[in-house]
Amino acid sequence: MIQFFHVHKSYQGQPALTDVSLTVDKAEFVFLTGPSGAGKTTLLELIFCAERAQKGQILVNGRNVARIRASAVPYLRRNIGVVFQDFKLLPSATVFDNVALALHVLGRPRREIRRKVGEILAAVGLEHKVDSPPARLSGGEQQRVALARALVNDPAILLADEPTGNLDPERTDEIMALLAKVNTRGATVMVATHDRNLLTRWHRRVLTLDRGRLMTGASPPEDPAGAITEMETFPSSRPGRGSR
Amino acid sequence: MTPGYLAGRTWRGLRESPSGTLIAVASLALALFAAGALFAAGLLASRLLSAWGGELRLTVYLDDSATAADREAVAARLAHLGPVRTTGKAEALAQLRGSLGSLGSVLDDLPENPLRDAFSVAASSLPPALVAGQARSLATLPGVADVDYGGDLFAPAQRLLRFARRAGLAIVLVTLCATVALVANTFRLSVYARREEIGILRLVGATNLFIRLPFLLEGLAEGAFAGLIAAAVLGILWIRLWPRAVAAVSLLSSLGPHPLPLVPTLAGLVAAGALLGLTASGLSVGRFLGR
Repeated sequence: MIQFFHVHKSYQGQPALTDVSLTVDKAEFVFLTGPSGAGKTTLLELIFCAERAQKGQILVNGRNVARIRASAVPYLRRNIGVVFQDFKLLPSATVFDNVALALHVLGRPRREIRRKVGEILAAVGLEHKVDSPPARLSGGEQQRVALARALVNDPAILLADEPTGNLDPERTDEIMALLAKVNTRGATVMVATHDRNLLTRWHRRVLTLDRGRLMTGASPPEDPAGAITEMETFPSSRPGRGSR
Repeated sequence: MTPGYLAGRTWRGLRESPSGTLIAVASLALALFAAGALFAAGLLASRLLSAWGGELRLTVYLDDSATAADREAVAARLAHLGPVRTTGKAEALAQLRGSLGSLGSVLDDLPENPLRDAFSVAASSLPPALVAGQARSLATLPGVADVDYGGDLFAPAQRLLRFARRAGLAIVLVTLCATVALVANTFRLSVYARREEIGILRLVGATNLFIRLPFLLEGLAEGAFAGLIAAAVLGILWIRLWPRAVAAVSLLSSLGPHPLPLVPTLAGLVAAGALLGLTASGLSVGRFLGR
Protein backbone atom coordinates (compact mmCIF):
# COMPACT_ATOMS: atom_id res chain seq x y z
CA MET A 1 0.00 0.00 0.00
CA ILE A 2 2.73 2.49 1.04
CA GLN A 3 6.36 1.86 0.22
CA PHE A 4 9.42 4.11 0.58
CA PHE A 5 12.67 3.19 -1.18
CA HIS A 6 15.79 5.10 -0.07
CA VAL A 7 13.93 8.37 0.20
CA HIS A 8 15.86 11.57 0.88
CA LYS A 9 14.34 14.93 1.65
CA SER A 10 16.07 18.09 2.77
CA TYR A 11 15.14 21.72 3.29
CA GLN A 12 17.76 24.27 2.25
CA GLY A 13 20.50 21.70 2.61
CA GLN A 14 19.30 20.47 6.02
CA PRO A 15 18.29 16.79 5.79
CA ALA A 16 14.75 16.08 7.00
CA LEU A 17 14.68 12.44 5.90
CA THR A 18 17.73 10.37 5.06
CA ASP A 19 17.63 7.08 3.17
CA VAL A 20 14.21 6.09 4.47
CA SER A 21 12.85 2.76 3.28
CA LEU A 22 9.67 1.26 4.70
CA THR A 23 6.57 -0.73 3.85
CA VAL A 24 3.08 -0.33 5.27
CA ASP A 25 0.63 -3.01 4.26
CA LYS A 26 -2.92 -2.53 3.14
CA ALA A 27 -5.32 -2.15 6.10
CA GLU A 28 -2.43 -1.90 8.52
CA PHE A 29 -2.37 0.52 11.46
CA VAL A 30 1.06 1.96 12.23
CA PHE A 31 2.41 4.61 14.51
CA LEU A 32 5.11 6.95 13.36
CA THR A 33 7.03 8.32 16.29
CA GLY A 34 10.14 10.23 17.18
CA PRO A 35 11.11 13.49 18.83
CA SER A 36 10.14 16.87 17.43
CA GLY A 37 12.01 17.53 14.18
CA ALA A 38 12.58 13.83 13.55
CA GLY A 39 10.79 14.04 10.19
CA LYS A 40 7.37 12.57 11.02
CA THR A 41 5.37 15.34 9.36
CA THR A 42 7.70 15.42 6.37
CA LEU A 43 7.21 11.70 5.87
CA LEU A 44 3.44 12.09 5.90
CA GLU A 45 3.62 15.09 3.56
CA LEU A 46 5.60 13.07 1.07
CA ILE A 47 2.79 10.51 0.96
CA PHE A 48 0.09 13.02 0.03
CA CYS A 49 2.45 15.08 -2.13
CA ALA A 50 2.49 18.24 -0.04
CA GLU A 51 6.27 17.84 -0.42
CA ARG A 52 8.47 16.17 -3.01
CA ALA A 53 11.38 13.85 -2.27
CA GLN A 54 14.75 14.79 -3.72
CA LYS A 55 15.80 11.16 -4.05
CA GLY A 56 14.17 7.76 -3.86
CA GLN A 57 10.81 6.32 -4.81
CA ILE A 58 7.50 6.40 -2.95
CA LEU A 59 4.77 4.02 -3.98
CA VAL A 60 1.22 4.68 -2.82
CA ASN A 61 -1.29 2.11 -4.05
CA GLY A 62 1.38 1.06 -6.55
CA ARG A 63 1.82 4.56 -7.94
CA ASN A 64 5.15 6.37 -7.73
CA VAL A 65 4.12 9.64 -6.11
CA ALA A 66 7.70 10.91 -6.03
CA ARG A 67 7.42 11.45 -9.77
CA ILE A 68 3.74 12.25 -10.09
CA ARG A 69 2.62 15.20 -12.25
CA ALA A 70 1.27 18.22 -10.35
CA SER A 71 -2.05 17.93 -12.19
CA ALA A 72 -2.48 14.35 -10.89
CA VAL A 73 -1.94 15.24 -7.23
CA PRO A 74 -5.57 16.23 -6.50
CA TYR A 75 -6.78 12.85 -7.74
CA LEU A 76 -4.26 11.06 -5.52
CA ARG A 77 -5.39 13.10 -2.50
CA ARG A 78 -9.01 12.12 -3.02
CA ASN A 79 -7.99 8.64 -1.93
CA ILE A 80 -6.05 9.80 1.12
CA GLY A 81 -7.68 11.30 4.18
CA VAL A 82 -5.49 13.61 6.26
CA VAL A 83 -6.02 14.80 9.83
CA PHE A 84 -3.90 17.47 11.47
CA GLN A 85 -3.17 18.49 15.02
CA ASP A 86 -4.63 21.96 14.34
CA PHE A 87 -7.73 20.45 12.66
CA LYS A 88 -7.65 22.78 9.61
CA LEU A 89 -11.37 23.55 9.67
CA LEU A 90 -13.02 26.52 7.99
CA PRO A 91 -14.10 28.81 10.83
CA SER A 92 -16.79 30.54 8.76
CA ALA A 93 -18.45 27.29 7.67
CA THR A 94 -20.66 24.95 9.68
CA VAL A 95 -19.68 21.45 10.71
CA PHE A 96 -21.81 20.11 7.86
CA ASP A 97 -20.15 22.35 5.27
CA ASN A 98 -16.67 21.52 6.52
CA VAL A 99 -17.28 17.83 6.09
CA ALA A 100 -19.21 18.26 2.83
CA LEU A 101 -16.22 20.04 1.25
CA ALA A 102 -14.52 16.74 0.48
CA LEU A 103 -17.63 15.55 -1.40
CA HIS A 104 -18.19 18.85 -3.25
CA VAL A 105 -14.69 18.42 -4.65
CA LEU A 106 -15.79 15.08 -6.07
CA GLY A 107 -18.86 16.70 -7.63
CA ARG A 108 -21.28 14.52 -5.67
CA PRO A 109 -24.97 15.46 -5.92
CA ARG A 110 -26.56 17.38 -3.05
CA ARG A 111 -28.71 14.46 -1.89
CA GLU A 112 -25.76 12.10 -1.65
CA ILE A 113 -23.74 14.73 0.19
CA ARG A 114 -26.52 15.17 2.76
CA ARG A 115 -26.76 11.44 3.29
CA LYS A 116 -23.03 10.71 3.55
CA VAL A 117 -22.23 13.70 5.75
CA GLY A 118 -25.14 12.77 8.02
CA GLU A 119 -23.85 9.21 8.29
CA ILE A 120 -20.26 10.13 8.99
CA LEU A 121 -21.23 12.78 11.57
CA ALA A 122 -23.39 10.19 13.30
CA ALA A 123 -20.45 7.78 13.24
CA VAL A 124 -18.23 10.32 15.01
CA GLY A 125 -21.03 11.28 17.40
CA LEU A 126 -21.62 14.80 16.10
CA GLU A 127 -25.00 14.46 14.37
CA HIS A 128 -26.41 17.07 16.74
CA LYS A 129 -23.76 19.64 15.78
CA VAL A 130 -24.31 19.83 12.02
CA ASP A 131 -25.12 23.54 12.02
CA SER A 132 -22.56 24.64 14.56
CA PRO A 133 -19.47 26.58 13.54
CA PRO A 134 -16.21 24.89 14.61
CA ALA A 135 -15.47 27.66 17.09
CA ARG A 136 -18.39 26.47 19.26
CA LEU A 137 -16.97 22.95 19.51
CA SER A 138 -14.47 21.53 21.95
CA GLY A 139 -11.04 20.45 20.73
CA GLY A 140 -12.09 16.81 20.68
CA GLU A 141 -15.21 17.65 18.70
CA GLN A 142 -13.24 19.71 16.22
CA GLN A 143 -10.84 16.84 15.74
CA ARG A 144 -13.79 14.53 15.13
CA VAL A 145 -15.07 16.94 12.48
CA ALA A 146 -11.64 16.87 10.83
CA LEU A 147 -11.71 13.09 11.02
CA ALA A 148 -15.20 13.02 9.51
CA ARG A 149 -14.02 15.19 6.62
CA ALA A 150 -11.05 12.91 6.07
CA LEU A 151 -13.26 9.82 6.04
CA VAL A 152 -16.42 10.98 4.31
CA ASN A 153 -15.29 9.85 0.86
CA ASP A 154 -14.05 6.47 2.12
CA PRO A 155 -10.32 6.91 1.48
CA ALA A 156 -8.06 3.88 1.29
CA ILE A 157 -5.43 5.61 3.43
CA LEU A 158 -5.81 7.78 6.49
CA LEU A 159 -2.87 9.88 7.64
CA ALA A 160 -3.08 11.59 11.01
CA ASP A 161 -0.42 14.04 12.12
CA GLU A 162 -0.46 14.39 15.92
CA PRO A 163 -4.25 13.99 15.90
CA THR A 164 -4.39 13.96 19.68
CA GLY A 165 -1.71 16.55 20.33
CA ASN A 166 -4.19 19.19 21.52
CA LEU A 167 -6.54 16.87 23.38
CA ASP A 168 -6.95 15.72 26.93
CA PRO A 169 -6.64 11.97 27.69
CA GLU A 170 -10.37 11.30 27.42
CA ARG A 171 -10.68 13.01 24.02
CA THR A 172 -7.49 11.27 22.94
CA ASP A 173 -9.12 7.91 23.60
CA GLU A 174 -12.18 8.97 21.63
CA ILE A 175 -10.12 9.85 18.58
CA MET A 176 -7.96 6.76 18.80
CA ALA A 177 -11.02 4.56 19.02
CA LEU A 178 -12.38 6.17 15.89
CA LEU A 179 -9.11 5.65 14.04
CA ALA A 180 -9.12 2.02 15.13
CA LYS A 181 -12.64 1.60 13.83
CA VAL A 182 -11.67 3.08 10.48
CA ASN A 183 -8.77 0.65 10.34
CA THR A 184 -10.95 -2.35 11.07
CA ARG A 185 -13.12 -1.30 8.13
CA GLY A 186 -10.12 -1.76 5.83
CA ALA A 187 -8.35 1.58 5.65
CA THR A 188 -4.62 1.84 6.09
CA VAL A 189 -3.97 4.17 9.02
CA MET A 190 -0.73 5.95 9.76
CA VAL A 191 -0.60 8.06 12.93
CA ALA A 192 2.32 10.36 13.65
CA THR A 193 2.72 11.03 17.37
CA HIS A 194 5.37 11.74 19.95
CA ASP A 195 3.02 10.65 22.76
CA ARG A 196 4.61 7.50 24.18
CA ASN A 197 1.45 6.72 26.16
CA LEU A 198 -0.39 6.09 22.93
CA LEU A 199 2.22 3.59 21.82
CA THR A 200 2.04 1.64 25.04
CA ARG A 201 -1.76 1.62 25.22
CA TRP A 202 -2.38 0.76 21.55
CA HIS A 203 -0.21 -2.13 20.52
CA ARG A 204 0.65 -1.55 16.91
CA ARG A 205 3.73 -1.50 14.77
CA VAL A 206 5.82 1.55 15.51
CA LEU A 207 8.05 3.30 12.99
CA THR A 208 10.62 5.33 14.87
CA LEU A 209 12.33 8.26 13.26
CA ASP A 210 15.31 10.04 14.68
CA ARG A 211 16.87 13.03 12.92
CA GLY A 212 15.41 11.91 9.61
CA ARG A 213 16.51 8.28 9.82
CA LEU A 214 14.18 5.36 10.32
CA MET A 215 15.40 3.47 13.37
CA THR A 216 12.77 0.73 13.85
CA GLY A 217 9.73 -0.88 12.27
CA ALA A 218 10.57 -0.55 8.60
CA SER A 219 8.75 -3.75 7.66
CA PRO A 220 5.39 -5.22 8.66
CA PRO A 221 5.48 -8.06 11.20
CA GLU A 222 5.30 -11.65 9.99
CA ASP A 223 2.01 -12.12 11.83
CA PRO A 224 -0.17 -9.14 11.08
CA ALA A 225 -2.74 -10.15 13.70
CA GLY A 226 -2.60 -8.16 16.87
CA ALA A 227 -5.74 -6.19 16.62
CA ILE A 228 -6.38 -3.14 18.67
CA THR A 229 -6.39 -4.42 22.21
CA GLU A 230 -8.18 -1.56 23.90
CA MET A 231 -11.05 0.81 23.64
CA GLU A 232 -13.62 -0.93 21.55
CA THR A 233 -16.42 0.77 23.40
CA PHE A 234 -16.38 4.38 22.18
CA PRO A 235 -18.36 5.89 20.51
CA SER A 236 -21.05 3.81 18.94
CA SER A 237 -21.89 4.47 15.32
CA ARG A 238 -25.50 5.26 14.66
CA PRO A 239 -25.77 5.47 10.92
CA GLY A 240 -28.81 7.15 9.47
CA ARG A 241 -29.51 9.45 12.38
CA GLY A 242 -27.44 12.33 11.30
CA SER A 243 -29.27 13.54 8.25
CA ARG A 244 -29.71 17.24 8.17
CA MET B 1 -18.40 20.61 -8.88
CA THR B 2 -22.14 21.01 -9.01
CA PRO B 3 -23.68 24.28 -10.29
CA GLY B 4 -25.37 24.73 -6.91
CA TYR B 5 -22.08 24.58 -5.04
CA LEU B 6 -20.45 26.93 -7.56
CA ALA B 7 -23.25 29.48 -7.29
CA GLY B 8 -23.32 29.24 -3.49
CA ARG B 9 -19.57 29.60 -3.16
CA THR B 10 -19.53 32.57 -5.53
CA TRP B 11 -22.31 34.31 -3.64
CA ARG B 12 -20.53 33.65 -0.32
CA GLY B 13 -17.31 35.08 -1.78
CA LEU B 14 -19.09 38.26 -2.85
CA ARG B 15 -20.66 38.67 0.59
CA GLU B 16 -17.51 37.87 2.54
CA SER B 17 -15.57 40.90 1.25
CA PRO B 18 -18.13 43.65 0.61
CA SER B 19 -15.51 46.41 0.54
CA GLY B 20 -13.46 44.58 -2.07
CA THR B 21 -16.58 43.94 -4.13
CA LEU B 22 -17.58 47.60 -3.88
CA ILE B 23 -14.14 48.85 -4.93
CA ALA B 24 -14.00 46.47 -7.86
CA VAL B 25 -17.50 47.31 -9.10
CA ALA B 26 -17.06 51.07 -8.66
CA SER B 27 -13.68 51.13 -10.45
CA LEU B 28 -14.94 49.00 -13.30
CA ALA B 29 -18.15 51.02 -13.64
CA LEU B 30 -16.25 54.31 -13.80
CA ALA B 31 -13.78 53.03 -16.37
CA LEU B 32 -16.54 51.47 -18.47
CA PHE B 33 -18.61 54.65 -18.34
CA ALA B 34 -15.61 56.68 -19.51
CA ALA B 35 -14.93 54.18 -22.30
CA GLY B 36 -18.59 54.16 -23.33
CA ALA B 37 -18.82 57.96 -23.35
CA LEU B 38 -15.64 58.26 -25.41
CA PHE B 39 -16.90 55.62 -27.82
CA ALA B 40 -20.22 57.44 -28.25
CA ALA B 41 -18.50 60.81 -28.76
CA GLY B 42 -16.09 59.32 -31.30
CA LEU B 43 -18.89 57.65 -33.19
CA LEU B 44 -20.94 60.83 -33.35
CA ALA B 45 -17.97 62.92 -34.50
CA SER B 46 -17.17 60.34 -37.16
CA ARG B 47 -20.77 60.29 -38.41
CA LEU B 48 -20.93 64.07 -38.39
CA LEU B 49 -17.81 64.28 -40.51
CA SER B 50 -19.14 61.63 -42.90
CA ALA B 51 -22.39 63.58 -43.28
CA TRP B 52 -20.43 66.71 -43.98
CA GLY B 53 -18.15 64.91 -46.44
CA GLY B 54 -21.18 63.46 -48.24
CA GLU B 55 -22.39 66.95 -49.04
CA LEU B 56 -19.01 68.22 -50.20
CA ARG B 57 -18.97 69.61 -53.79
CA LEU B 58 -16.30 71.09 -56.04
CA THR B 59 -17.91 74.37 -57.08
CA VAL B 60 -16.68 76.80 -59.77
CA TYR B 61 -18.12 80.34 -59.53
CA LEU B 62 -18.21 82.22 -62.82
CA ASP B 63 -17.48 85.83 -63.38
CA ASP B 64 -20.40 87.86 -64.76
CA SER B 65 -18.16 88.67 -67.73
CA ALA B 66 -17.65 84.98 -68.59
CA THR B 67 -18.49 84.19 -72.21
CA ALA B 68 -20.48 81.24 -73.41
CA ALA B 69 -17.21 79.63 -74.56
CA ASP B 70 -15.71 80.11 -71.09
CA ARG B 71 -18.76 78.47 -69.50
CA GLU B 72 -18.60 75.53 -71.92
CA ALA B 73 -14.91 75.01 -71.22
CA VAL B 74 -15.49 74.92 -67.45
CA ALA B 75 -18.49 72.59 -67.77
CA ALA B 76 -16.49 70.25 -70.03
CA ARG B 77 -13.62 70.03 -67.50
CA LEU B 78 -16.02 69.30 -64.65
CA ALA B 79 -17.90 66.70 -66.67
CA HIS B 80 -14.77 64.46 -66.44
CA LEU B 81 -15.26 64.33 -62.65
CA GLY B 82 -18.98 63.55 -62.56
CA PRO B 83 -22.47 64.81 -63.34
CA VAL B 84 -22.38 68.62 -63.44
CA ARG B 85 -25.01 70.67 -61.63
CA THR B 86 -25.64 74.21 -62.86
CA THR B 87 -26.90 76.80 -60.40
CA GLY B 88 -27.83 80.23 -61.76
CA LYS B 89 -27.29 83.30 -59.58
CA ALA B 90 -31.07 83.82 -59.19
CA GLU B 91 -31.49 80.20 -58.06
CA ALA B 92 -28.56 80.58 -55.64
CA LEU B 93 -30.16 83.68 -54.14
CA ALA B 94 -33.45 81.85 -53.73
CA GLN B 95 -31.65 78.99 -51.95
CA LEU B 96 -29.89 81.46 -49.67
CA ARG B 97 -33.18 83.15 -48.87
CA GLY B 98 -34.69 79.76 -48.05
CA SER B 99 -31.83 78.79 -45.77
CA LEU B 100 -32.11 82.09 -43.88
CA GLY B 101 -35.75 81.41 -43.11
CA SER B 102 -37.51 84.37 -41.58
CA LEU B 103 -34.36 86.45 -41.98
CA GLY B 104 -34.45 85.96 -45.77
CA SER B 105 -36.30 89.21 -46.24
CA VAL B 106 -33.10 91.16 -45.53
CA LEU B 107 -31.98 90.10 -49.02
CA ASP B 108 -34.82 92.17 -50.50
CA ASP B 109 -32.89 95.32 -49.73
CA LEU B 110 -29.92 94.33 -51.90
CA PRO B 111 -29.50 96.67 -54.89
CA GLU B 112 -28.53 93.74 -57.08
CA ASN B 113 -27.86 89.98 -56.81
CA PRO B 114 -24.26 89.68 -55.55
CA LEU B 115 -24.07 85.91 -56.13
CA ARG B 116 -22.61 84.19 -59.16
CA ASP B 117 -23.57 81.49 -61.61
CA ALA B 118 -21.91 78.25 -60.61
CA PHE B 119 -21.11 74.73 -61.87
CA SER B 120 -20.48 71.97 -59.32
CA VAL B 121 -19.77 68.24 -59.05
CA ALA B 122 -19.94 65.92 -56.02
CA ALA B 123 -16.45 65.66 -54.54
CA SER B 124 -16.93 63.39 -51.55
CA SER B 125 -16.05 60.21 -53.42
CA LEU B 126 -13.07 61.71 -55.27
CA PRO B 127 -9.50 61.50 -53.95
CA PRO B 128 -8.68 64.71 -52.04
CA ALA B 129 -5.46 65.22 -54.03
CA LEU B 130 -7.34 65.03 -57.36
CA VAL B 131 -9.96 67.51 -56.15
CA ALA B 132 -7.31 69.93 -54.91
CA GLY B 133 -5.38 69.69 -58.22
CA GLN B 134 -8.49 70.23 -60.31
CA ALA B 135 -9.49 73.20 -58.16
CA ARG B 136 -6.11 74.86 -58.72
CA SER B 137 -6.29 74.16 -62.45
CA LEU B 138 -9.89 75.36 -62.85
CA ALA B 139 -9.06 78.61 -61.05
CA THR B 140 -6.75 79.57 -63.93
CA LEU B 141 -9.42 79.23 -66.62
CA PRO B 142 -10.82 82.41 -68.18
CA GLY B 143 -14.16 83.55 -66.77
CA VAL B 144 -13.65 81.76 -63.44
CA ALA B 145 -14.10 84.01 -60.39
CA ASP B 146 -13.52 81.48 -57.63
CA VAL B 147 -13.24 77.72 -56.93
CA ASP B 148 -14.36 76.15 -53.67
CA TYR B 149 -14.31 72.52 -52.55
CA GLY B 150 -14.28 72.78 -48.75
CA GLY B 151 -10.91 71.01 -48.69
CA ASP B 152 -9.32 73.71 -46.63
CA LEU B 153 -11.54 72.65 -43.72
CA PHE B 154 -12.42 69.05 -44.52
CA ALA B 155 -8.90 67.61 -44.63
CA PRO B 156 -7.80 69.16 -41.30
CA ALA B 157 -11.09 68.07 -39.73
CA GLN B 158 -10.43 64.53 -40.95
CA ARG B 159 -6.91 64.64 -39.52
CA LEU B 160 -8.21 66.02 -36.23
CA LEU B 161 -10.82 63.29 -35.97
CA ARG B 162 -8.21 60.63 -36.75
CA PHE B 163 -5.97 62.03 -34.02
CA ALA B 164 -8.85 62.32 -31.55
CA ARG B 165 -9.89 58.76 -32.29
CA ARG B 166 -6.35 57.45 -31.64
CA ALA B 167 -5.97 59.57 -28.52
CA GLY B 168 -9.37 58.42 -27.27
CA LEU B 169 -8.49 54.79 -27.93
CA ALA B 170 -5.19 55.22 -26.07
CA ILE B 171 -6.96 56.86 -23.12
CA VAL B 172 -9.56 54.08 -23.03
CA LEU B 173 -6.87 51.37 -23.19
CA VAL B 174 -4.76 52.96 -20.46
CA THR B 175 -7.83 53.49 -18.27
CA LEU B 176 -9.02 49.92 -18.75
CA CYS B 177 -5.56 48.46 -18.11
CA ALA B 178 -5.22 50.54 -14.94
CA THR B 179 -8.67 49.40 -13.87
CA VAL B 180 -7.85 45.76 -14.52
CA ALA B 181 -4.68 46.16 -12.42
CA LEU B 182 -6.64 47.82 -9.60
CA VAL B 183 -9.40 45.23 -9.67
CA ALA B 184 -6.83 42.42 -9.88
CA ASN B 185 -5.28 43.79 -6.69
CA THR B 186 -8.61 43.79 -4.88
CA PHE B 187 -9.11 40.22 -6.05
CA ARG B 188 -5.63 39.34 -4.87
CA LEU B 189 -6.59 40.53 -1.40
CA SER B 190 -9.74 38.45 -1.57
CA VAL B 191 -7.77 35.38 -2.67
CA TYR B 192 -5.20 36.00 0.04
CA ALA B 193 -7.93 36.27 2.67
CA ARG B 194 -9.14 32.85 1.58
CA ARG B 195 -5.72 31.19 1.44
CA GLU B 196 -6.61 28.94 4.37
CA GLU B 197 -9.71 27.69 2.59
CA ILE B 198 -7.70 27.18 -0.60
CA GLY B 199 -5.17 25.15 1.39
CA ILE B 200 -7.93 22.95 2.79
CA LEU B 201 -9.50 22.53 -0.64
CA ARG B 202 -6.16 21.37 -1.99
CA LEU B 203 -5.85 18.97 0.91
CA VAL B 204 -9.13 17.26 0.07
CA GLY B 205 -8.20 16.90 -3.59
CA ALA B 206 -9.57 20.01 -5.28
CA THR B 207 -8.12 20.72 -8.70
CA ASN B 208 -6.92 24.19 -9.60
CA LEU B 209 -10.00 24.57 -11.79
CA PHE B 210 -12.28 23.78 -8.85
CA ILE B 211 -10.52 26.43 -6.75
CA ARG B 212 -10.38 28.92 -9.59
CA LEU B 213 -13.96 28.74 -10.88
CA PRO B 214 -15.75 30.54 -8.01
CA PHE B 215 -13.21 33.37 -8.19
CA LEU B 216 -13.66 33.65 -11.96
CA LEU B 217 -17.41 33.69 -11.56
CA GLU B 218 -17.09 36.41 -8.93
CA GLY B 219 -15.01 38.49 -11.35
CA LEU B 220 -17.51 37.86 -14.13
CA ALA B 221 -20.46 38.85 -11.93
CA GLU B 222 -18.77 41.98 -10.58
CA GLY B 223 -17.66 43.04 -14.06
CA ALA B 224 -21.09 42.46 -15.59
CA PHE B 225 -22.75 44.36 -12.74
CA ALA B 226 -20.31 47.25 -13.21
CA GLY B 227 -21.04 47.17 -16.95
CA LEU B 228 -24.75 47.26 -16.18
CA ILE B 229 -24.30 50.35 -13.99
CA ALA B 230 -22.17 52.10 -16.62
CA ALA B 231 -24.69 51.19 -19.35
CA ALA B 232 -27.63 52.42 -17.29
CA VAL B 233 -25.99 55.77 -16.54
CA LEU B 234 -24.86 56.23 -20.15
CA GLY B 235 -28.26 55.21 -21.49
CA ILE B 236 -30.16 57.61 -19.21
CA LEU B 237 -27.79 60.47 -20.03
CA TRP B 238 -28.14 59.77 -23.74
CA ILE B 239 -31.93 59.66 -23.69
CA ARG B 240 -32.10 62.87 -21.64
CA LEU B 241 -29.36 64.89 -23.29
CA TRP B 242 -29.45 63.99 -26.99
CA PRO B 243 -32.77 65.71 -27.81
CA ARG B 244 -31.53 68.85 -26.04
CA ALA B 245 -28.24 68.73 -27.94
CA VAL B 246 -30.11 68.44 -31.27
CA ALA B 247 -32.33 71.36 -30.31
CA ALA B 248 -29.29 73.47 -29.44
CA VAL B 249 -27.09 72.52 -32.41
CA SER B 250 -29.09 72.15 -35.63
CA LEU B 251 -26.09 70.51 -37.34
CA LEU B 252 -26.68 67.42 -35.20
CA SER B 253 -30.11 66.90 -36.73
CA SER B 254 -28.36 65.84 -39.97
CA LEU B 255 -27.35 62.63 -38.13
CA GLY B 256 -30.95 61.45 -37.94
CA PRO B 257 -33.04 60.49 -34.91
CA HIS B 258 -30.90 57.49 -33.83
CA PRO B 259 -27.25 58.18 -34.64
CA LEU B 260 -25.96 55.93 -31.81
CA PRO B 261 -26.79 52.20 -31.84
CA LEU B 262 -27.86 52.42 -28.20
CA VAL B 263 -28.77 48.81 -27.39
CA PRO B 264 -25.61 47.25 -28.95
CA THR B 265 -23.46 49.92 -27.29
CA LEU B 266 -24.94 49.29 -23.85
CA ALA B 267 -24.85 45.51 -24.31
CA GLY B 268 -21.21 45.90 -25.35
CA LEU B 269 -20.47 47.74 -22.11
CA VAL B 270 -21.96 44.89 -20.04
CA ALA B 271 -19.99 42.31 -22.04
CA ALA B 272 -16.80 44.37 -21.75
CA GLY B 273 -17.35 44.65 -17.99
CA ALA B 274 -17.78 40.90 -17.66
CA LEU B 275 -14.64 40.31 -19.71
CA LEU B 276 -12.60 42.79 -17.66
CA GLY B 277 -13.80 41.29 -14.37
CA LEU B 278 -13.00 37.82 -15.63
CA THR B 279 -9.52 38.92 -16.75
CA ALA B 280 -8.75 40.66 -13.45
CA SER B 281 -9.88 37.73 -11.31
CA GLY B 282 -8.17 35.22 -13.61
CA LEU B 283 -4.89 37.11 -13.33
CA SER B 284 -4.93 37.28 -9.53
CA VAL B 285 -6.09 33.77 -8.75
CA GLY B 286 -3.82 32.37 -11.47
CA ARG B 287 -0.83 34.10 -9.95
CA PHE B 288 -1.76 32.84 -6.46
CA LEU B 289 -2.27 29.23 -7.56
CA GLY B 290 0.87 29.31 -9.66
CA ARG B 291 3.05 29.96 -6.62
